[in-house]
Amino acid sequence: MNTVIFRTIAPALTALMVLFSLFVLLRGHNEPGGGFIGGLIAASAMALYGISSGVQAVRRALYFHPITMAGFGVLLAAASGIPSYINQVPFLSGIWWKLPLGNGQYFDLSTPMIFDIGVWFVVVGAITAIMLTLEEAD
Amino acid sequence: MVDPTILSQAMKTTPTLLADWNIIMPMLIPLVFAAGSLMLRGKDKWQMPMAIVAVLLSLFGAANLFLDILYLGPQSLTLSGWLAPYGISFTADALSALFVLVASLVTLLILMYSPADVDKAAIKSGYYTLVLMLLVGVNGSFLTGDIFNLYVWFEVMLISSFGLLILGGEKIQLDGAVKYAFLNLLGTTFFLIATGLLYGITGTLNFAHLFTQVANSEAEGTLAILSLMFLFAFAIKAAAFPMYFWLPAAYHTPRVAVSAIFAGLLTKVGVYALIRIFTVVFPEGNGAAFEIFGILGGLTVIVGGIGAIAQTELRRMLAYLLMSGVGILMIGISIHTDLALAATVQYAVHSMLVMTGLYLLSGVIGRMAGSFEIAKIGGIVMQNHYVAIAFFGLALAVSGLPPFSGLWPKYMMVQAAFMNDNYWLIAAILIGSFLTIAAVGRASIQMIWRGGDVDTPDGQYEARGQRLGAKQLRVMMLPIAIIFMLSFALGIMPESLIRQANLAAYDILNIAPYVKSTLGG
Repeated sequence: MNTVIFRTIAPALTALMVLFSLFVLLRGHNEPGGGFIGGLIAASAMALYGISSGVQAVRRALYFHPITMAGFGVLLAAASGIPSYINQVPFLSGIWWKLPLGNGQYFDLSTPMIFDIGVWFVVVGAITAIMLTLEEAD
Repeated sequence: MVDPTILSQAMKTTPTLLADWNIIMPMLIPLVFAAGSLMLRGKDKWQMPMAIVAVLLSLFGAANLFLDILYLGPQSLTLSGWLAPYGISFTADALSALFVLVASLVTLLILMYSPADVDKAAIKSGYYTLVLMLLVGVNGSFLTGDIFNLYVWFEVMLISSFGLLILGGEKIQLDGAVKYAFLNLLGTTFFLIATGLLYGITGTLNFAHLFTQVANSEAEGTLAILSLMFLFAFAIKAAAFPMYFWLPAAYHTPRVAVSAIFAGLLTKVGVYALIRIFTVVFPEGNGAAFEIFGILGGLTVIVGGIGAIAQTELRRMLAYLLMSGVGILMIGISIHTDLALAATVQYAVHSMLVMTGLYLLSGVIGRMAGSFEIAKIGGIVMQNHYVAIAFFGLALAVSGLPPFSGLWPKYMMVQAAFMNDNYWLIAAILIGSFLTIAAVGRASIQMIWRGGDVDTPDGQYEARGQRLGAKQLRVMMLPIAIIFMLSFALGIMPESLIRQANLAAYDILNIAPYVKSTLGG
């Protein structure tokens, strides 16, 4: 795996895959996609970067420890239930906010999206942590 | 826009009061704190205070829920605004609330003991996070109103327990963990298959809805087989007679605080699942399930007692005593009258507290003697009176002798068996109690009264250096003292617990309020 072509292409490909994973994450509410599959794509991106540039490079690029990211994801997913507390509906009910963009257009924000972002963080964090540990053991 | 009348058939349209959230708090609070402590890993000093705060808050939440249910009857919250059975329900009755309360209390006591037992390396590997996640799984299992979610909470609990079991990574731990993991995964797989088949027959997974669907179902033969599959799955979890091997193989390998939390919580969750499924889903036992419960329970009591006598390692002996207690709980489910179920609930609470106390105490004794082999332990009474008294008291409690909490549930159980003409179950309980007394009596003579090692002659005391500092001993003895007091208080004033247990038994046998709280109407 130590060819010049791979090492040159991998970082660009990683950036592209992370971007695609965010796209899959955000389209997940109404179309195929979502936090889990998006997270897997991002974790594959990390794997690719790890194979080409080494574990240390991935850890530097992530900045946060992957386990910390997973913990943050669980926290975010749990926190997405909190607005229900204020709106007097059961835990984890979907609550929507419409941000006006002008011209009668709206941008929909919702608690299911926050939950999904939490799932994304859990999957990226957990899978990357497992993968980096396995890579390091070699 | 959807027609509001159609919407109101699938979604909850009335406002949810904040008090309705009480039911998820014992699960949600430790989950949030576990996530927090995962994020703060590396900050070792923060881990312990965070875990204590989390468990104190969930204990408060559990007490709140307990009082709610005491005054209002079973409570239910169906998440995300859908109505049951479309949404996922959390439903709690007096049984769940009592168990959640005791589980949170036991976890708190173990966290108080932990600083003396858990080293830096274990904290770095996430000891406190795993304990909190274990509590999440246990409380979730007690509170869920949905059989598939019961499976999910079991998995949460199992994965955390795998993590706790191998903290330290010694060879014997891995050996125990393999047996533990294999048999538990087998049980979980059976549970999942049976759940799938049940869904195929009834078309629902919600406990309350299952109650109505199973009553109307005509697939009696399949349901009878399913009931046996559930029985098999949870008998493994609860460590009942033929499938108990994993428990003595695994419970003496991790550090003492971990053994104690396993002893206090894990098998009881299996028993809780048995009670729940065999009252809500199979209220008549469907087929021979209740007879099989009786046979397995009786054999578990006796085999546990014999096993306890045969062991030479203190914690392995305790594992068999724990198993013997599970047998008594199964006998209670088998007799299935209100008296027997009240005794079951009471015994479960007693066993959670006392077995935790005994395991914690085994840690103190093991540290004082430098070994867990009964032959190598000696002279405890000369080293520290309080440790000797605590062992004596908890030994009386576990064998069901007055003035401790073990007496009353056993007495009620024998009475219930007597009223049902189940004489061989009475024999099993009494023989099991006798074997337990013999086992703890022998351990007590050897460890507490003998001067030193196994060869020390009578009347001689082999002075050893103090292995355990006074400050550390105080930290370790405080939770044990609390359990000792609780067990003593429940022994001389049993009415308080009997009243709660009667309430729980009433809720177990009268499903209507439980169903109504979930499905409404």
